[in-house]
Amino acid sequence: MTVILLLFENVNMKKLMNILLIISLVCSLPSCKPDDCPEPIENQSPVVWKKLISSSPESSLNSTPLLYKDLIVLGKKETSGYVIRAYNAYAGDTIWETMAPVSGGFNATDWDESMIYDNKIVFSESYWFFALDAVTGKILWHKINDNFFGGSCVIDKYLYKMGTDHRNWSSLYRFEINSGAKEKLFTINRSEYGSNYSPNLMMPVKWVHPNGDEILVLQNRTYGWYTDMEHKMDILAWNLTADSMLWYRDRLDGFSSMSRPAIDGDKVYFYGDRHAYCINPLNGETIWKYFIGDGPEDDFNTANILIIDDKLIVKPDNDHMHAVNKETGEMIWRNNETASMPDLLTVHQDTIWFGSGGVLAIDANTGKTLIDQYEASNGSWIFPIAHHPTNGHIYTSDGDYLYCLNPKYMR
Amino acid sequence: MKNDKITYNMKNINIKLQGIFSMVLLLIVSIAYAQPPRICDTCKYDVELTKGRFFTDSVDIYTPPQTTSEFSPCPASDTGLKYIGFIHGLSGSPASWSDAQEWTSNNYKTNSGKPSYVGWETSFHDVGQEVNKQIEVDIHSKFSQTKDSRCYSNDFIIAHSQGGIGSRYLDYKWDTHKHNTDFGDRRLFYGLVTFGSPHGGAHIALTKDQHAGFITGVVDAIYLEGTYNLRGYSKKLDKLLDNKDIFIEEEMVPIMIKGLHTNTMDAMAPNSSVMDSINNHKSRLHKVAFYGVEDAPECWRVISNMTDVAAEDYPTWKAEPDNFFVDKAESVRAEHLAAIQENNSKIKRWKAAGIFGRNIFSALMASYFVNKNLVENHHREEAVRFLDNANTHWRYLIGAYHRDSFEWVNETYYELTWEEKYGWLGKWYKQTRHFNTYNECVNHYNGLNVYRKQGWSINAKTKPIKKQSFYPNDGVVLVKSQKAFPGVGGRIDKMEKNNHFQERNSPQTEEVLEKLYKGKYDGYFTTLRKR
Repeated sequence: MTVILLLFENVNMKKLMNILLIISLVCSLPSCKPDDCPEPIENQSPVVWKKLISSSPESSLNSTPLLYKDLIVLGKKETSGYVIRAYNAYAGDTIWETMAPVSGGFNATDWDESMIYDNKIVFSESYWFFALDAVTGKILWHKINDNFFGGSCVIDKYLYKMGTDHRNWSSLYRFEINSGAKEKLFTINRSEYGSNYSPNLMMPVKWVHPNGDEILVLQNRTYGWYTDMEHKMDILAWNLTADSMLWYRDRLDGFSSMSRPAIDGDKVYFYGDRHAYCINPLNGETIWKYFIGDGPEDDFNTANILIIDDKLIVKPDNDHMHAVNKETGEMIWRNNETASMPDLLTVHQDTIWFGSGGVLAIDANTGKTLIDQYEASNGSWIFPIAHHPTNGHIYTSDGDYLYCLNPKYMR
Repeated sequence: MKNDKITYNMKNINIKLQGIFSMVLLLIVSIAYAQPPRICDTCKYDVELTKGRFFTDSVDIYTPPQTTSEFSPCPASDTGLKYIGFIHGLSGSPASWSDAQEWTSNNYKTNSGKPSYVGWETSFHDVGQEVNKQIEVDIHSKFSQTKDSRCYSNDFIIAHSQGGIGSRYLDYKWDTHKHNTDFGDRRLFYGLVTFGSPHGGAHIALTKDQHAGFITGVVDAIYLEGTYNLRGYSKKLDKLLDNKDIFIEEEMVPIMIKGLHTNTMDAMAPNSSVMDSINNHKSRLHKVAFYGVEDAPECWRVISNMTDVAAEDYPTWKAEPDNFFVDKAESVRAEHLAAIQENNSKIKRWKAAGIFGRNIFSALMASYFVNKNLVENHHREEAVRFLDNANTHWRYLIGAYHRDSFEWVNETYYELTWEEKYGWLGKWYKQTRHFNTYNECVNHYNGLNVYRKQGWSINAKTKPIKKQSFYPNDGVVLVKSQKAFPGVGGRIDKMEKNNHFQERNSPQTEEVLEKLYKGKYDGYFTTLRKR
């Protein structure tokens, strides 16, 4: 102590200050061990990037985002026409842009109006449909036909379309996806199959008969223009190999969804009025049916079907979501707090994703809501979700911008 | 000596004044703290407890027995276009549907129009008569066929809110009063699509007498925030300001809402004779009902579209922003709170000045300004209370409120903890803050401006909170009423985050109309694209 006092007595103030400064510097060095230092905070915004879709939109809607390798493909109706763009999935840069060979009101917005097969992208709505090269955006072929109506689907290398006069007949066609070559498969007339209902064939799924024949299983969503002005859900199986009807089942239900059925092994799943059906494609018999509920929205105006492992996901028009054992029809879980009006359910790593007033993610194993209506803007979050296969990023839009989002930071 | 005595007396008075003042303050504080809990049966609007989603929706749907449609369809040989009429709601005009109607005409094979009943909201009889006349005129101006040669069976109406009730009234009259020439000599439409129509009745009609009080509260708390600092200067001025509130409520607001308080609004009250008539009628119309559900605070979102930009004034399908009034209410509330805080500081300063003042004049001055700031604060606190309770108040007015219905639920919140120090020699202090979202925690931590910070962590936690249940609604009409179109069955669809006015021009409107024309809800409404 005496030494310190003596020291202080012998140094002037300036020196004292310098000593203090050195001491403070020396003290501050070990005071922050690497482990204690504040970690640099990484960017925790869910928005990885966003890109304005159009500066002159003609519609608030856009097509379902489609992922092809490292490209996100999206169509939008603009004042100049319907424009399809491919964006780099990592940075959002526009890779190519193509004006669709369409006119009038064409606006592919539903999930069954744009799809990818191999390196081809198909857009199809109402009278128009065309295929383009996913890598270059070059239009490969396009068609227009006044009798075609509704969405489409791709099975193997064929695009399927339905033609109708909306009263008396409905035909199923298919087009070879590389060339656009047309093939008419079959027609159902109003007078056939014992009823006077106007036929309306929906998109099929393909099943292979034990004898090796290729069978298309689909719905005929008839309408009673000449009877009771009500809907009737017929289902049928068309033998593609034998070019004949394998079976036709009248009135499985009344009102039904326009959704394409789902197929898993030897079972085909349909959505009717307040019921999901499991059908034997061999003879059209019901294996089981799942009652959803008797509420006004326990049906499927806008539904689609998802099979995840052993589960059939049932999403009626209300806020509910059910997971049903696809073999037995028994309920596995139910979540009554998911939003309604989903456009398309998608699945990625055991999570069900959809857009409805925000991005929703539901754990497919438990039914627990993981992300509840996340919105990155005040826009319209009603579009389906595409998933990057490796980095976990998701792609969707708010109608104005295309977003790449990191679900890790979506709370 | 005399001066010393005066000074002593002055100081004495000053101390006494301060004492009285402190007593009054203590009394005020005591009263404030002695108030009963705010959640109580006797409170008028209780407390805003509607954060987050907590809906109770007991479906209340009229279900008279439905007959199958007896209408004959148009023959297959009839290739004529269908007519689609867009009908506006209460106090609306043909412009209300201008975007949707123009879009439909441009993109689909139809002749569409906007029949109106402006000036005829004296009764639904008058509305029906006028709509019938307008549709007839519209159809005959757009189609070349004669009345007898044209097939009307494919024609349908798309109606918003009251327009749906008016259309149903017309349908009811066509079916039940076939020889009443007020409604023409034939049916002019066979399908009806409604957006936000109060099929189960409009509860807002029942609280008509209280609308002016709510709007006055909005005007006073938000638009007249600048007048609050005039409070407390004198009793005369305060009385004048009070009279201003009475003037707004009794004179101005009734003029503002006169257009809404029509006879037809009264007739839409639940269980009115008109509603009972149409709800017990076995309508043969093809039906679809779309309903909007709006997030809290619905009241500000609805007012945003009424005072900022009307839904039809946005570009087509772009009426999704409705935050204008939400932001405005929040910023005004913050201004009130800031002013209260500043006044409290002033009160403290004036009190100090009064206690340590040298004379009675400074004591009186202090007392005056303390009082002035207290009066101003009282009014500002009332304004904040109004703003805090406004959405519950509004829900009460539209029938969404259940005053006795409470439930304990667990709410998730986020706890941010970290350590910070304020200088190199200082010690580390542990800090904790609670936020509603994860991002708020991150933003808070990133924004900390301290010498050093470390060891942050964010943990999700839950706490039980008392929530009040309410009927979901679009800000004006309850969901259960929008869905209660007799016979509609499952032909209904929800429009998420749409308020009553957005329903006519939001992205979801485009989406559901696209689906409607594709026949997803009912094949009857299938309408082909234009090539």
